[in-house]
This record gives sequence, structure tokens and C-alpha cells, in this order.
Amino acid sequence: MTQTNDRSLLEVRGVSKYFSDARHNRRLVLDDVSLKVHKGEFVSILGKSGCGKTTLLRIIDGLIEWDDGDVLLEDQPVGKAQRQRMAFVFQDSNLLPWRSVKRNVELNLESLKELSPQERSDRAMEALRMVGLEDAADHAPYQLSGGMQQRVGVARALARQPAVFLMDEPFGHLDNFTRERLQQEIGALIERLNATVVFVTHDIDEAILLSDKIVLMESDPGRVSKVFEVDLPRPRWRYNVRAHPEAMRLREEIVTDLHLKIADWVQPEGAMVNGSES
Amino acid sequence: MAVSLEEGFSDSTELLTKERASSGSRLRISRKYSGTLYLFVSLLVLWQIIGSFLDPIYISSPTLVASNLWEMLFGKTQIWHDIAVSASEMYIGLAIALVIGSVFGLAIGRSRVIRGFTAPYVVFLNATPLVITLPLLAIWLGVDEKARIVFIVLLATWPILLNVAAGCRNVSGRFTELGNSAGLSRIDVIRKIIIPGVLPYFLTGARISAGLVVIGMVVSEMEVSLVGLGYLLASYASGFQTSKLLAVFVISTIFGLINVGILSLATRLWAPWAVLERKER
Repeated sequence: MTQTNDRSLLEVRGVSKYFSDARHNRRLVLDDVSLKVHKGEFVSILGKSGCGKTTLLRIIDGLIEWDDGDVLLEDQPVGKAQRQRMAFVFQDSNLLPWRSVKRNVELNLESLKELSPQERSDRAMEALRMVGLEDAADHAPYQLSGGMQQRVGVARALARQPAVFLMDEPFGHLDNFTRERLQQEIGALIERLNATVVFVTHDIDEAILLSDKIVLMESDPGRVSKVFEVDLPRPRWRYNVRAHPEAMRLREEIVTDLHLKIADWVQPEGAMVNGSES
Repeated sequence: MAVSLEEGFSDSTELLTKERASSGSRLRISRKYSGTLYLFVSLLVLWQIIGSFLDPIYISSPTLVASNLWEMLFGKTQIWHDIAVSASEMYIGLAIALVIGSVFGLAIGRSRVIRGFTAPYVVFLNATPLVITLPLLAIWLGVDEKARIVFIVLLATWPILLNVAAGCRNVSGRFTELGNSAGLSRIDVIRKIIIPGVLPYFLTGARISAGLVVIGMVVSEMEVSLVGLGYLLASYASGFQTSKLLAVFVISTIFGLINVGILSLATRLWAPWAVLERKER
């Protein structure tokens, strides 16, 4: 998806964030992070656990405060109105156990005062249809499998009809088979809707499969180390993305990049680390 | 080979049993409780046999207890007044404890500041044998039901308060971000997420307290009363009227069973997800 104009839909500009521990020691978790997301673009934030990628996503959604920098949606600093146009998909599906599947989806619409109860219900059902769960609308969450629960989590975001989807490792807790399937299904759905997505993951293959752009993050403190464009044809569900030469090349590049960093401190067996002879 | 055969065999019988059990729910219930029932009946028989060899002031016997119970409920010296006094103290105390426990539990669970400065007192009061407050309450409030109700409240508040506070923290941790992300107002987060989420914890606390109020009632009436089931227990005990003592004991136990039963039922009705979620796992 090449962009004709450079006007971004979502922009993170020089965001920094400190966490304080119990002893009031401040630790820098995000250091001057910037990124741009264009309309219809799928951007993955790729990094190991603890690199601050989820923190970044929560900052974008206004769930936590940050210390420096700006988050802009259509050039406006994000406030309440902007946040209404973003929808978060949690790592655990986070469904309320006392609500039916449909009423869980509706929760995300209950702050939109302009919707009548009937419209809320219609939108919830439509979202459930998109993820293939309209038959489970009246089920209780505990009656669903993990994969189905996560699809409800996606439906909850879809119902919002947001300008930007924020997804925090939505497939991270699923078993391999379910993950493969949901990656394909949700990936195809997002392609069809031409949705704008910021997607947090630690899975290199997943990032390549789904993204237009991959933002690789390093940790301690979290900062953007490199940005990769994913130049693979769409629709991607039509072919085996992993076997595509470009995907393999990109995977190599990302892995090499990570390994180079690791090689800075891991030495081959028996070799002396520089400067340790004294 | 033999082992696997045997395993297969036992598997298939188990399957059959399951099928049969699920075919009629009455059958399943009788299966589940039949062991308990057998044990209960054999203990009664054992009690009757041993009791018949001893002076009734030691352990009495089931038939003696039953005839005394009948006499108390439907005979010449009825104790309905005492039962009514005890029940009213108990339920007024429980009602007050439910309100106080929920309000303070929510406050302590929601606010880190309140939690910070109340925590030592909560721990202290929860760990204190609260019976020591009884003489003080009698001095302050007199030997009447006020003192007893306050004591029952003191005893019954803690399980509710601690459970509600823990539930509140748990639910807040799990779902507050969801509510914020959905754009819900603070009131709506409490109304739509915290309150329904805390309900099963509240009911768990209430179930424990519903058992404790019976203890509170009996103990306070033994110490600070001239009426009620606890008073009867104390006076029968000092008069070595063991059969009557045990008859009153049976009435108190029935109160406890009814209380706990009602709250278990309430949990099934009002928070079925909490019961079912546990079963699914």
C-alpha cells in the first residue's frame, strides 16, 4: 500500500515514558519514540517482551499518561473525542463473564450516546457476523473456546467502526493451530475493510504476514531501532506468504538485525571478550 | 495387556454410570448424597447405642434430644419467643454487616490511599478474638439486644469487607482498562463493571458471615442476655440438662444451615457465571 500523500492518520511524535518503582526510582521505558501510520496501513510494532511496545499502544489509546511528546490523530492531539475513534483489542479477550457475547460487544458502544439501543444491537450483530460468531451471540463467554473468545474481542473493536485499531498481541495466548487460523481470518478481514491497524507482537512471522510496515523496537529503554517496509502483494491469504522470496528475505534481514545486536554480547565458545584479558 | 484391558473395562463402566446418572437428576442427587446420608444414619445409631449405656447427662441420645425438641417447639414450655429474639438479632446484625462490609470493602478496594491507612487496623481487628469486646459492649450499651447486635455486626463484617475489597481489586485490575478503552465514564465503570464483578465475592463473604452470625448470636446471648437460644444453652448447661442443651444446639445448627443454603442459592441465581466458570476449569 503505497501512500500518495504524506499526511498520516496517526502520528506518535517523540514520546517518552518513565515508570517509577516502589522506591521511586525512575526508569525510562520509552525513549523518544516516533512513528507514522497512514490510512489503511497495517503497522506492526515488533520487539521482545518488556521493550515497551504494549506501553506505547496503551499511551496511544490514552489508557496511561506519558511524560513527553505528542500523539496525534489527524493532526489533532488525542483527547476524548479522538479516543472514541480508536478501538483496543486486548491480549486476553477480557470478556465480562456476566454478559453474553453480544452484550460484551455492545459494551464498546455504550459510550457512544448517538446510538439507539437498536442500532447498538444491530452493530454488535454485524460485527459478530464478520468474525463468524453470530450464532454464539447469546452464549456466555465461558462457553466459548479461547480462539472464539479472542474473535469476540476483535468483534468488540469492529463494532466501534474505529478509524484505528490498536491490537495488543491479540493472538499471543492462543495455541498454534488456532493462531494460524485467526491470523489468516482476521488478516483477510482487515484487508477487506482496508482498516488502519497498529499491531503489537513479538512474533516475526506474524508481523511479516500481516503488516505493511514493521517497526522493530529495542529495549531498555524502548526505542525504535529500525523500520522495514513489507513489500508483499495483497491479498495475502491467496498465497503462502511464508514461502514468498521477499518474505524470506525480510525475515532474514530482521533476524540478522536481531542477531547482530545479540552478537555484541555473546561470544563464540572459548573466545575472549575484548578487554577481559587483564 | 491385562492392565490395559482392565483400564478399558473400568472406563466403560464409568461411562455407563455417568450416562445413567445424567438420565435422571434425582438419581444423580441421591448418588451424590447417599454416602453422606449413610454416615449420618450410622452415627445416629451409634450415638443411640452408646447413649443407652450412659447417664443421659453425658451425651444423651437421639431419641431423648428429639422428644425434648418436640416439647420445646410444640409442647407446654415453648421457646418460640427465644427463637424469635435470636433470629431478629441475627438478621438485623447480618443486614448491618452486609451494608458496612460492602461500603468499606468497596472503598478499601477502590482507593489505594484508604487501603494504605486502614490496612493495619483491618489486619488487627480481623486477627483479634472479638469475644473480648463483649463485656465492654455490655458496659457501654447495657445487657440487652443492642450490645448483642453490635457484637454480631463486629463479627460478621470482616468476611464481607475482606472479600469485597479483594474482589474489587481483582475486578479493577482485570477490567478497568477495558472500561476506559470503551470510553465509559467513572460512574459507568463502577456501575457496569465493578459492581457486577464484585457480586460473586460479596456473596462468598456473605455466605461465611451467614454462618458467623449464628456463632455471634449464641456467644453473645450466653454472655449478655436473659433470653434467646444462647441464654437457653447457657442455663441448660449449668443445669446439666444435656438433652435440652442438644435440642437447642440442633435449632441453632438449622439456622446456620438455612443461612448458608440461602446464600448458596443466591450465588447460583445472581452470579451463575462464578459457579459455572469454576466448573469449566
